[in-house]
Amino acid sequence: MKILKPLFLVLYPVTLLSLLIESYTFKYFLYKHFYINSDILTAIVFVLIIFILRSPRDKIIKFYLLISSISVVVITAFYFFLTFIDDYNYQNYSFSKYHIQPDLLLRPIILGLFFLVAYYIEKKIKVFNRKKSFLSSLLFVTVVIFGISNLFLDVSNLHQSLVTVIKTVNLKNSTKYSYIMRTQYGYYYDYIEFVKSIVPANASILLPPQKNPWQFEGNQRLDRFFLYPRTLYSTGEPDLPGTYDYILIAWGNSAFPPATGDSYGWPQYKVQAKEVYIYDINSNNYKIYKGDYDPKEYLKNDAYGLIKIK
Amino acid sequence: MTTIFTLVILVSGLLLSYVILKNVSLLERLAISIGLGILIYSLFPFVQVLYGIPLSKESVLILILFSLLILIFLNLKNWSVIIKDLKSIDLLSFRKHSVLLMIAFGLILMSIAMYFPISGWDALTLYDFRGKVLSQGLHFKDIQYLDSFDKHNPGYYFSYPPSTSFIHADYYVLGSKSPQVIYPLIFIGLIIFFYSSISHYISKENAFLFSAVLMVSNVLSSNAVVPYTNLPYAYFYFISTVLLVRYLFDRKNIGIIIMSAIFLAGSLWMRSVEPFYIVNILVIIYFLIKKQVSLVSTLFFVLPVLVLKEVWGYTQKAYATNVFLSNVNVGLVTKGLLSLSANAIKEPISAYFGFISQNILLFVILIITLATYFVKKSKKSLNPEILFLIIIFSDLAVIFAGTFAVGILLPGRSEIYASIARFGIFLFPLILFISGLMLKDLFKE
Repeated sequence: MKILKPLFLVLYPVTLLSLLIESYTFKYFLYKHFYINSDILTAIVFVLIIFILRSPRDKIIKFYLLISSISVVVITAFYFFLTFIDDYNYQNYSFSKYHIQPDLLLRPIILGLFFLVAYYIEKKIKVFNRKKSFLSSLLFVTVVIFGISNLFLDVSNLHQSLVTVIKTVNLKNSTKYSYIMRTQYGYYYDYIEFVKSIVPANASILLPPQKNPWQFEGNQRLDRFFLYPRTLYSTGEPDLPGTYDYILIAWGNSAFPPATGDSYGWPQYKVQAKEVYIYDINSNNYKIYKGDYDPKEYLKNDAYGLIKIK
Repeated sequence: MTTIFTLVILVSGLLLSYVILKNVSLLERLAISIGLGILIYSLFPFVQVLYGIPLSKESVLILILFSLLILIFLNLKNWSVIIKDLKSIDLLSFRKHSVLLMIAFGLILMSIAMYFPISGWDALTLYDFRGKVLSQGLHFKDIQYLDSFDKHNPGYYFSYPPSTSFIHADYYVLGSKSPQVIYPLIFIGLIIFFYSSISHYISKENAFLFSAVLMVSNVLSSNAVVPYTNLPYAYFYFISTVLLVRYLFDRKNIGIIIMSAIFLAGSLWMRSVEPFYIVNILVIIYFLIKKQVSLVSTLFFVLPVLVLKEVWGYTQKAYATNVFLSNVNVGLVTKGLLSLSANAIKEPISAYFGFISQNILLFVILIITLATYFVKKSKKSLNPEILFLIIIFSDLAVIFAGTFAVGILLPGRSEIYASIARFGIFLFPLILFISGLMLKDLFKE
């Protein structure tokens, strides 16, 4: 058992460093290049900590505790800094700017916290006393660590909500609703509201097919939430009536790239039309053009709108 | 109106708990009252619409009036007990500051739920949409008609029971815009029930610690502000399971097994696709075979689930053009098995282990709990601890089988695997509960 302490003294900083490296690169970076699994390393260090704390502690362990405390405080502060700037800017802002994934920082934080919490619990209630079950002690500390790591995620989530509340608290109810829906659904929300404002409640609309890249505009169920009681038909489905009042013009979302053989932009065929409404997703404005719809004329990058059928 | 109807749900549930259950703590009653209230105000409107009477403000008000009058009448003998219980409320008698922090956390979740509009994808496409159209007086036939326009997802509006949709509809017809307030209440109910029920087995201090850990569990707390059915399912299934185990090792209070049955049926009323109720039914049948419970208790337990399953099954058959994921039959399985590819096997297995990997700490807790149990070597062959472990591992086996079935029956629908992470949240309270039980002697050793 004498080997455990030197093993801990070597493995603890190695594991901490590995987790920090993977926060900057990607999860399992070390495994990919050096076959070092950081999760297994962490688990080994967790077990070693329990053994170390069951024996009388000396100066070097206390020095490690000091290092752990400093690392936990610094990394935690950095974690919250990154999550907060993500909330104020956009998701993945910190990753695109500094190449650090805040969520991966939770792993070195948990490692340090495990050591500190285990030490604190042992000091207060002698939970790792040799007479007590090793497994019970390990279980107790793991549950506490589970709670603490979840608390971090809660604070991060609450902060995200708080930022939205601060940004919307002075807005009118309808504007607040639009802001929150826009945050969640992006351009799609404004576009579908535009469709709703043009198409009468008793009219019918032909939607793009329910596949990539139209996972938003072509999703009949999602469209129906906003457009009900308008009648919705999806392109590509059997038993379509053949006549509709309107057809959606939708470029599609780059987050859902089209399958091989498909391309962005809908509809890709000519339509005899009374009017073509071209909607600008950036300015939220639209223009009306009289006459038929020709994809060559209208189907350009980020083309959105409506065709009113003759 | 939001506050008033929420109070009506809670009071109705509380009164119903006094009718069914004797000799349980007020905390436990408060915890289950939200669930019972949800069942009252979703099942009756459901039956009403099933009989062709559309939902309206008048119908909901009549239901509230009748429910309260009947429950007050049924509780005429219990009135002195109710008043005594209510007078005994002293939330801050124990760990004052920590309790205040937990109350603050609950209030923050309620404020978030009420401040933010419903925006979750599944809520817009299904749960809340059904609530909105039901509140506008639509019949099931009208919803079936809407379903008919989408051949890509046949029977989608009837793919899950309309439990939460009817609660949303009730709020909407009464003029409220925030039906999502019930979700943090369900979460709070789950935490309170967890605390009060684990206190039966371990010290107050430990029970409090484990309840606090459950409360901060991010998967649960983030579901508390989203109007999905995963958290309600976890709440109903967890309460049913804990009450079942309590009854099987006590067998004094028949009300406990009735309540467990109601909550198991409730879990099915929230989400009918997941077959975890079978595990609980098999457990009671095992005890029946071992002659440790009576046939009457077993029937009390199984009947509500079967009735609800039949009623919902009938509704699906009557109105759903096709029941998505629910009509697994021999033909489909054979067809799936014949076209089985290596990828179809690999995908569900990696999805299953992906779910475990996402919640690695929780599963580490489960594994250590299991190891602790076997190291302790309890003298009794069957005890609450091992029964909880059997239920949890059976549930995990069901998840594995279900994931595998999806791989066979619906190859290429990998997006369905993402739902494991959501419906698997019921494992959180169960695993923390059993780990709490396992540590009951830690401070005594």
